[in-house]
Amino acid sequence: MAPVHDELQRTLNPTCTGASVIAMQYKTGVVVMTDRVVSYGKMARYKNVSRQYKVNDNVLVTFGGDHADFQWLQNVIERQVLLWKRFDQDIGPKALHGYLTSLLYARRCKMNPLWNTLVVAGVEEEEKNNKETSTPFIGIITQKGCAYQVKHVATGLGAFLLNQAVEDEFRKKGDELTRQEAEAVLKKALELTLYHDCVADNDFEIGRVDANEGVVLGKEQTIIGDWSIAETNCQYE
Amino acid sequence: MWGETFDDFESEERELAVAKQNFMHEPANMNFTFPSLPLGIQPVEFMNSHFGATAAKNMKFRKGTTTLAFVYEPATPADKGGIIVAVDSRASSGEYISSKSVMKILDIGDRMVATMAGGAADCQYWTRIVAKYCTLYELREKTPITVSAASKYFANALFGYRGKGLSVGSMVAGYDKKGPQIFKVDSDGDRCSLKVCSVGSGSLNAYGILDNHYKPKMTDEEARKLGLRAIMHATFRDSGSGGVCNLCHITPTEKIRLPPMDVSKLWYEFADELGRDIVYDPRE
Amino acid sequence: MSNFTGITATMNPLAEMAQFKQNMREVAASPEWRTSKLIERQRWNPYSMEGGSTAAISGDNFAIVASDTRMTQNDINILTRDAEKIHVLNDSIILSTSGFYGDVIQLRKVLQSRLHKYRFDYRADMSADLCAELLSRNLYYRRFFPYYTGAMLAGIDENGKGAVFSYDPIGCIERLGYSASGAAEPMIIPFLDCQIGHVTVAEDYEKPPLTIERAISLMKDAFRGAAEREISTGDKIHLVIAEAGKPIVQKFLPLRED
Repeated sequence: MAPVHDELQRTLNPTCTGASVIAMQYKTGVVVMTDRVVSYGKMARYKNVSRQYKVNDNVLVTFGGDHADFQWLQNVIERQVLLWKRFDQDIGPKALHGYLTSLLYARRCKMNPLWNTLVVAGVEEEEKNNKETSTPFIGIITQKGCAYQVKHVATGLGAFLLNQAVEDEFRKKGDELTRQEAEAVLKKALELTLYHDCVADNDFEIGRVDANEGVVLGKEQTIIGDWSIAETNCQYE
Repeated sequence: MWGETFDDFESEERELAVAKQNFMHEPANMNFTFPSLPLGIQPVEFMNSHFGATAAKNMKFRKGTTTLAFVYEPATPADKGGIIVAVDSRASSGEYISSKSVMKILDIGDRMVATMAGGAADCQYWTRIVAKYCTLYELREKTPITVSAASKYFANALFGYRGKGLSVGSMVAGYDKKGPQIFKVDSDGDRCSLKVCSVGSGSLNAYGILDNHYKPKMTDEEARKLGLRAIMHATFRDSGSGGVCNLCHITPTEKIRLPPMDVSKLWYEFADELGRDIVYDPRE
Repeated sequence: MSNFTGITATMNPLAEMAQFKQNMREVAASPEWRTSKLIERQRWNPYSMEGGSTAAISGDNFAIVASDTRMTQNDINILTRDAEKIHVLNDSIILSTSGFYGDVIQLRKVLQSRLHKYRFDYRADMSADLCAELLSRNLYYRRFFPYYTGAMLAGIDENGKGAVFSYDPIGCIERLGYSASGAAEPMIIPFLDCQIGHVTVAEDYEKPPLTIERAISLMKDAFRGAAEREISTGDKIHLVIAEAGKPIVQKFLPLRED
């Protein structure tokens, strides 16, 4: 008796998605790594797509999840940056993180979520232009508007796969980590995702926000990894 | 934000600003509506799926009760007569007892009380709304509001939310110019005047005791004991009720709140009175 | 002969009513205007559960609140080990919440802005009693799309006494001597019932008075116990101590990290 809506069987799934984001603090800033692929289901649909968005000299936003939603978000963020510019202010990572949290939460409340996990990385300038007091910042926002701050993070499948690995590395050095060390950890972490996450790609970039240099977007890099274990691990005849 | 009007915003920001407007300030009295789910989502269905049987234990709403009230006349001139209101004090979220000391007799002004059965939050909130209405009424009309009018306002307020999933079973009791009054009001918008009344999951057990021992004329002592007894028996046969028994005696002149009585202690007293062991064998 | 409600004229009145109610239910459940998009939205779960537990104890002139700092995804995967579940709102009010963290943030934001406005209007800090009622009503305003939080408010009340207020997700408020909420609530409460409420001990058993030192050590025990037996509780105890006439003290103590 009840009306049937056959076309409704599909779910609220995203279409073109990005996978893991891995980010880590070091002494004077933050490094963020993403791979450069956007997948359509399990298909690597678009290669050479950057998933990092430079907001201004202090903030870098990186995303996992639906790519279309993120592109729309870039416009929203840009508008917000311009709004601050009108008052001669540069938006900081904390402020942007707060703004995006409200935005994602408001969309959740309309039951019309933005299908993104956002990583807002940056350097918070406690006092304007005083590099000594700048502190590194990493803030995460999930699609339901749940937001928190961390010193290191891996999202997507990386949350299950990498969080502990990254944490262990981070704890060895703590806040004294240098940029090179942090980048080495991230590369190692990407290798791990590469082995286990079928939508991860070996094409990646490492962006960073440094107290002294500002936002530096990474160059495209490739990692091959060590696949020799495959021969012993798989049950090939 | 910075002296702009909503017209300056893009749609997304406008919605954010409206959300701020709605949540960050105390809502204005007259035009407040509860923020609700987006159009097309059934509130009852939604609540059941997230806060119903499958929800985490302590995320369910607090509920479960036995409440009773009755009117009696004094048997001797030494007695006061009036209304006895007795309630238990358990609030359970599913099978977890989230509180064992809830006060389920809420004041409406200084002459009336409302009991609370069903959703605890619903009762507390709406009783407060009714109490506010009564206070304003007295200030405006310079005469005390009748129990009938207060309960009617209560029932009308609840009727406005009928079908939205509220759960309230309340008794509004008190003295007014017509004498002692008890009105039972529930979330379907039902309201009726009763002399002997019980609401809640343990109400059937309470009715059993009440109907058996109730007399129109009683001494104060008898009446209070009957209230305690009925609640005690209900808590022992209904797992949704328990804790202590709170009792309120409304006389023509004052409202007397008795100290809470632990129902386990009442049970021992009761066994003593019968002169039998507390662990009794019904076949003996 | 039938009209748009599907009622035939030959039916008897009772059957007619039953049929009408049936039709009403169906129409209410899926009205014609409900598009595919709306039904999809309904299926999406707007809540998630970030786990963790909080507890609070009040005494004569103090209130202490504790929580763990673990944030989990689906109760299994640890997202972060330093999530903040206790929010100090002013010198005498402490909010502690567990449940869906997005709602926790929103709730904190609402209370903070209301407290700020109060300070602006009255040039005084809001008292814990007032804030407790405010929180209750704000929880109830979202009756039809509730906050998925087990909130507790603790602090020093107007008379300088410790106070703990406990809430259900839609704002049923109760003032208690001690309370807990979150995943380990069913574990912590019986422990506190025994140690502070003394409900499980014999009448002649020695009942030590509740001093601030005893309350703190009980709180630590409660969380260590919970961390042993509850998966989403662990990492660190965040301990916040409010004592009448003294500034609020915050401490972090280690817990199991497994």
